[in-house]
Amino acid sequence: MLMLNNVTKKYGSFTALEDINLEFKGGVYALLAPNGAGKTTLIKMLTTLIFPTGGEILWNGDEIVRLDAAYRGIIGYLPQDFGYYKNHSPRDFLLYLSAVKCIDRNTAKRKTEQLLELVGLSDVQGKKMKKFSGGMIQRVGIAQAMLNDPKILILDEPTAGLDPKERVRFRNLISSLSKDRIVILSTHIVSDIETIASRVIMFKDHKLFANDEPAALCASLAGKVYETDDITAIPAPYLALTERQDGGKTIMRFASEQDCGSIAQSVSPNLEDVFLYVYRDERE
Amino acid sequence: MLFRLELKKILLSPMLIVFLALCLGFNLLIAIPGAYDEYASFVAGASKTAGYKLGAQFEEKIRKLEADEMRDYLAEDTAGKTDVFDGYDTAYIADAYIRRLNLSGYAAEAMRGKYAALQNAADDKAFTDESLTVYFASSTPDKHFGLHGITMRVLIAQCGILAALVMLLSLGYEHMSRTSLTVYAAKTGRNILRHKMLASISAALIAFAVLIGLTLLAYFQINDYGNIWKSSVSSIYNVIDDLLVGASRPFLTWQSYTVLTYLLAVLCIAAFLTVCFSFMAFVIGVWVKNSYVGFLLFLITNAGCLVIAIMFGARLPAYLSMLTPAWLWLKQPLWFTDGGADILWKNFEILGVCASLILLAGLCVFSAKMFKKRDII
Repeated sequence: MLMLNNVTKKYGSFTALEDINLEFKGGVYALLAPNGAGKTTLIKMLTTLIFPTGGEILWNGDEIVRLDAAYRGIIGYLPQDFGYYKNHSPRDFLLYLSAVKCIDRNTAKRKTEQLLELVGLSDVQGKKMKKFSGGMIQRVGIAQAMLNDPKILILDEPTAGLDPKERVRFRNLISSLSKDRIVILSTHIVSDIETIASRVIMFKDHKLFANDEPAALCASLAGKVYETDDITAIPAPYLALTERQDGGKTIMRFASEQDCGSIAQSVSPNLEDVFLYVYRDERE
Repeated sequence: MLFRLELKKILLSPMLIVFLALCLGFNLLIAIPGAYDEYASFVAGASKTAGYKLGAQFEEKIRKLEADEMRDYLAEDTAGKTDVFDGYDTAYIADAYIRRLNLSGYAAEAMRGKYAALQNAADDKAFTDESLTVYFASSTPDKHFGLHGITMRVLIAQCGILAALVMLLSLGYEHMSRTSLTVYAAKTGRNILRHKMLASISAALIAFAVLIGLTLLAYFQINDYGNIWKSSVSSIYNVIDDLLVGASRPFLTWQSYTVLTYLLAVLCIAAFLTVCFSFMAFVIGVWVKNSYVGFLLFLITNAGCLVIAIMFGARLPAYLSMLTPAWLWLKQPLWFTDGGADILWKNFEILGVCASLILLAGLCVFSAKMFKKRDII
């Protein structure tokens, strides 16, 4: 089990994360927050790239900084801005990273072949990566993260910059990799996690705001989300969420603390509603 | 495995290949052809039949060579020479330095001590008639300085720059490729610095071997050494122009070196000096992410070491700065000799290289430990 006890990270006088307490046991954990909320800071602490200024991070009761290489040996990490050697082929690059992950040569060759097959890059495994699309590079990224068959898979904004088709493909891939391991996925794109996250973790004002199942988070907004084609009839205050077209009409989805059941249709809240509701201050 | 992959990354980098090719091009096309000397070449040819030891036998064999202007000149050049170290007193050098530089206290004492110790070397050489070897006769100062003052100094500078570039390239590779987060979060993590360091030093020494090997191969193709290899570098003809003493003085080494063993000893120190430059670049590269900025800092650091001596004059910091890699490089033509007025201690090149290696290795360990505790943002 991966556990964070009162973890704080400060950069000088700026507090990036404050007093975070979390437990990760198994399944997909989605870190959902707008940019700059501290998702990457948390992930970098989980990967020992940066160190907490307060609190501790424990893996099965031992501090991860003390575990050092033993801990890093059980994590797989795809950074937000995944870099690669442009003049290397994915095969050579994975073999290099296998060496960095202290995987023996024969296992590295076998795993590289398997993973390139899994991410659909077998046919280009010998080609230089400089001509690869963003989606192909992200697939190399997930393959390298899986090289050591990690117990903890950490993915920082893995779908950023991908087209919708690639995003769906990636989501399915993550879902298939989530068995028997902890997957920690950071994103600000709600659709990435709606169907695959077992728990959603939200930060607000650099503190932990929520850590719950998606359904429970949605339930917290139950009775507050409505749809109407005449928003002018809704008494203020309300929070405009999304718009959609339906039969030539613009349907406005909104959240209100007041009971608007008589003038608008009550609908089931989804994770996107929760995100927009929670981070309404950041939108303004 | 990781060492091999890091080494491969460096050796296949266009920067190394291009820089190595440019250096070789410069050395082969510009530096070496200018070093040819017709008279020296004749002396080398003559040494194959006449040997390298001066004296009656040598003069006799020279007389038997085909008569021409060069033969006559060599005969005149080598006739009736006496051992320069017979009755040679090194104390006058110490006295001249102390007087001209106003040395007092420890500096004056150390200077006297150095030349008192050098007297033993002069006495040994006198005993073995070491100076009575031909080297390149009257072309010796130019030929000796051409190889050790110019060619070797250029080569060592090139190797030092290459060593720094290679180290900075290796350390900055992940930053430039944006792979540092992936690499440092992997099992090896920040310990990869150790592999990068070993690979960079190995690459620098490989480049050293290639660059020096090919350049010297070309140099000795153009400049025939014949039997001169066995001549002593402390030949009567090998002199140092010393402005502070006000005259030329013999090239007096602490130990006995032939032309060949002196070259090998210089190469050995040059290789260790290259490692010093690698260490220096490692320390800079660990703290500075950008390789180009790192290289600029490397140049500034070395220039700073050179400037210290000028700033402090004849005081201890200036004498200590002579033991830094930059000054050791600059004073390369005087390696294994007393080193002149700037040097207070015997065997300054060995002392300097050892002190630099120990100090820089300590700084490398400290930097690597700090890096392990540093946030990678």
